[in-house]
Amino acid sequence: MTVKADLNAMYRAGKQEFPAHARRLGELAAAMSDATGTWQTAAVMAESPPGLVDAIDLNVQVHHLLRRAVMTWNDAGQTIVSITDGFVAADERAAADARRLEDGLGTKPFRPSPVPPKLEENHG
Amino acid sequence: MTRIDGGGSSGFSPERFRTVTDQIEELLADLMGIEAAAQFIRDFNVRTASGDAENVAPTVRPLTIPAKTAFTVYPTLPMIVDGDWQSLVSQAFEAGKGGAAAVGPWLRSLVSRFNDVDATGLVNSAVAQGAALETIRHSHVEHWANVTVLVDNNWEGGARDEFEIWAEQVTPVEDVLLTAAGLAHAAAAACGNVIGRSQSAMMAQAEDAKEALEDTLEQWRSAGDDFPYPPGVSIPLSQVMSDVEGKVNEVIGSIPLVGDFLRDKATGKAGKALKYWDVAKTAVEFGDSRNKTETPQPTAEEYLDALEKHFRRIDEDAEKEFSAAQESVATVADEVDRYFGYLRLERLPDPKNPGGEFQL
Repeated sequence: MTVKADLNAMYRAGKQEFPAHARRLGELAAAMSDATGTWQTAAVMAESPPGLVDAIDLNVQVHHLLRRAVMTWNDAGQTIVSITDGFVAADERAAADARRLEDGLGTKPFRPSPVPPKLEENHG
Repeated sequence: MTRIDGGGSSGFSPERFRTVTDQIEELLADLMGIEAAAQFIRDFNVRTASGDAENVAPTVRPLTIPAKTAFTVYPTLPMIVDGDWQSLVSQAFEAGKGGAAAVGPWLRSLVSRFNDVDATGLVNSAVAQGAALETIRHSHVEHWANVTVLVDNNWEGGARDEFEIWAEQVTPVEDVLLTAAGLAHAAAAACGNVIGRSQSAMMAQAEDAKEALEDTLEQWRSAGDDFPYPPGVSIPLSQVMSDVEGKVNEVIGSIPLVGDFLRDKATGKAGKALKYWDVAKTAVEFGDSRNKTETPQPTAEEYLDALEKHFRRIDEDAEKEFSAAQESVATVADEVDRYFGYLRLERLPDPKNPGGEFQL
């Protein structure tokens, strides 16, 4: 495996794939947040059906844990970019390779995915 | 590919249910009034037949029954000197009619927990969560394997061990979370379907009762010659209740255990827990629940008793299904609780900070 291939894989993972995965987890968390709101309304109307109330509780818990997952995937992406940046900074040939990577991947800034807001535990 | 049915309760709306139950109240009022007038005349005839000396030769006396659709009856009655049959029969009708007061609101109160629930919205939101899960299911981090090796070889800061621990845990933990999210959406969809089917059953029962009452009243009107005796024509009543039961397990099915999942996470077997997706996609349909059977013509009281029984049964059946959904969720929910600390992925330390540690 060449240095160029290593740099490409690490930057692609750190700047694209990990944030993209974090974004998809965040989208799921957002979908769960929307669903939970609808379920809470229905649960209040239907006098708190046990199965629905427990599903809401489970959704709230999983939503909380998914938020953590989004943050850690962002952390991991940042970690990989930092390590790769350090590698590029310490090696002249690696720096030249990084500048030539497709789509300016080597010089593109790291952008973490947005973390969904916390979900309140408030249901019927 | 099958899917959770996104449809709602067929034909039900709070407004329509209110309208039909109010119509039932009006029809019952008519029927109770007619029955009271008929009873009054039958009672009087009994006294006459027993030889009441004050009454003289009976004769056919046309009388108007002041129902919503008024009709004429032709009972054979004696002459009375201290009143007239028409006013007495009208008074009896009005007195009987009062027995149906507030029947509409009372019927709605028996199933009030379902009246205003948007079952379709509930099911659709669960389906939307399932669709988001499908997206994650196919999420693929192409360079993950390379990265773990490369990070391991090139890490210059501290906390490399933390990253390795994180790298080992993140996939199985996510699988557990997605499984739990899938179970939650399946349970919510199941509850939404139970509510929708309950609404369908309520609506079908109310409409069948309304139609049957209209038939009964038509029989009274068309059999005026037989008055004060009730028409003996059989009419249908529906038996709709079995449709609510047993639906939760169709949707949720067998539940993967998070504990087993976590125990297996180091052995690479954890992915098997994702089988819930196939189970959760079992189609559930809001079928036509009508199933008419012939029964003897009921009285107003029998109509009321039957409606009360059926509506209470709808509520009881739904509660059983809600409890079944709860049992299905409980196992996984308890395990998510128990293993919460393991499922909470820690924040990775700053790689530039030697000796960094996990952040809470």
